[in-house]
Amino acid sequence: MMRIVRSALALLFAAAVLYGMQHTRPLYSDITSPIVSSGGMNKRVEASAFALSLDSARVARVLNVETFGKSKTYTSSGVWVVVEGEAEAKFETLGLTSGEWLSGSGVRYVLTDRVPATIEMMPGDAYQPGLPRRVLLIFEVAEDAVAGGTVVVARTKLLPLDDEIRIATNVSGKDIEPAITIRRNQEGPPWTVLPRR
Amino acid sequence: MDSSPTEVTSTRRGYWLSMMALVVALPAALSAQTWGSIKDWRSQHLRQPVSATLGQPIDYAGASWTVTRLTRLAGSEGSAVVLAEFEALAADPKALGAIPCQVRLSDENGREWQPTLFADPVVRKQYPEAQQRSLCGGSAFAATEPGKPARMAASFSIPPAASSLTLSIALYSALPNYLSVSEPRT
Amino acid sequence: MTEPTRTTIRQRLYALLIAGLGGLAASAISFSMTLYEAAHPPKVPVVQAGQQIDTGRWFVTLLTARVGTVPPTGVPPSQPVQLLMVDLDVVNRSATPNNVLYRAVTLGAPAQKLPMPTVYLDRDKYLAGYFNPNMPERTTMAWEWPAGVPVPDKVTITVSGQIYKLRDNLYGASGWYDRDPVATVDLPVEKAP
Repeated sequence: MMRIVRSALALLFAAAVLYGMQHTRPLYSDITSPIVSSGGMNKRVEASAFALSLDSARVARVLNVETFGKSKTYTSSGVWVVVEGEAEAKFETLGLTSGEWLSGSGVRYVLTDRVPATIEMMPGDAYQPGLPRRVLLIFEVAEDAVAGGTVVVARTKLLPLDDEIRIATNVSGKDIEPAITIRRNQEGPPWTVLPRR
Repeated sequence: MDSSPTEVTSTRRGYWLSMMALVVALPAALSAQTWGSIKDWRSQHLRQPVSATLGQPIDYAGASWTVTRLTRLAGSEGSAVVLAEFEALAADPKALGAIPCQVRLSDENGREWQPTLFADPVVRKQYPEAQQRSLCGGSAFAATEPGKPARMAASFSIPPAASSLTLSIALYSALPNYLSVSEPRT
Repeated sequence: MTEPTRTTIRQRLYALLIAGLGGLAASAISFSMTLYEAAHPPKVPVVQAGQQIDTGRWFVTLLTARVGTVPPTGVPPSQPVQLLMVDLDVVNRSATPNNVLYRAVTLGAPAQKLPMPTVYLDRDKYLAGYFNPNMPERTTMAWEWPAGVPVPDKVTITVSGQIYKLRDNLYGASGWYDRDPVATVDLPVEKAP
């Protein structure tokens, strides 16, 4: 009799342990998640392979893109977020191909693919060690995703356990400009964001 | 069911034998599994420099290599531009062209620069001939006839403060050996 | 403890037998369930054009279908082809952008398998890339219609459901998985003169 009770108890215990393990194990995306370095605007945030600082984040309803004398207007069902800053590689030449806008509620938006490549956005450049370079990130996001948004930058989306920098922007979502123009320059800085502020 | 003493000892012996076998077999299985990765890692990370001097030919990867130029120029926006020109004389340039080739510039702090996709305007202005040359690899050798050297060039964009620069040229077939040329002291 | 602790051969045999029978019964039940489901496919509701369909990952509203030779970019392809174009409104309801609308909206083709459709963003009159979450967009999906096959007066669009699995069965990774169709929509095909 005792043996049966003991066996039953052991079985129950094993089932409970297995159930507990099944429900407490971390998600695959957590296990392979990038190593995050966080910071705020106008601060240089360091990851192990690169550093990033953001100095401007503007929101507009319409985006105009001027390249080679031609202008095109991009409308949106949400709003445009135009972010500028400076990135620098630390030890070896690298690319920064992944940029995301993470809303306060955890919804992700990727860098827009609507703006033509003639405007040099962050993924199009190579970052050389010791040579900081201006970066431009353009997102198209839903209006309720603006306030409290965070810019997330990584070398690539595909490499687990790599560096990732998260910079909390200071945009409130209330100050929305009617339109922003991004102009490609022939010389000097590669682009200008208008109107100037 | 009673167990006789001899049976107990034989069971024990079997147990310990199995344990010992496990101690040997487990690491063996692990190393057999990871051997390929270890080899890959070694070929990528363990490197043996073959030191060369500027202007002097040296044998590497089945060809005779000469680094003919390694100069610093003042680049745009406060950067420095390093222009490297080198050539390789091979009996069979086509075969050499099939091998991946990596060109890097490094400094005393271990920072490493890849060649820039487009040369800085200063290169175009001062060394227009370098502009015609291609980077190390297939296209450079494809255009070369046997008996003539394949001419190549690479330009780098670096901070002006970087010092003790070393140019490295690595052909994957010759790894872990790579060609290493230091910037001439001025 | 005087009880023997080692199991007899007979006990082990019983254990094996029970485990084996259990496994056999489980696979038999699973197999017959699959067979039953295959024999009795669930009725897919027919939805009117203009009505929003919830696929789990998307809200899809099919609008109109037409046939033509000029894609929404306005630039005809170098080799003239017939395009079956379907206008629809979509909203990505998930928390991440994606560009796999073609997995949710498929064209019940004639006999041949059609090549993958091209998706155009009406806002830009250009190729659509990623659809961002919670941002309604009007799009046009264009299927290249095989030459020599007459375009019917009516096409059937199948809208498939997708479900989110927090942990998949292989890696325990999160992701969206294709499920059964949730709706079909019949669209009359406008034929440009």
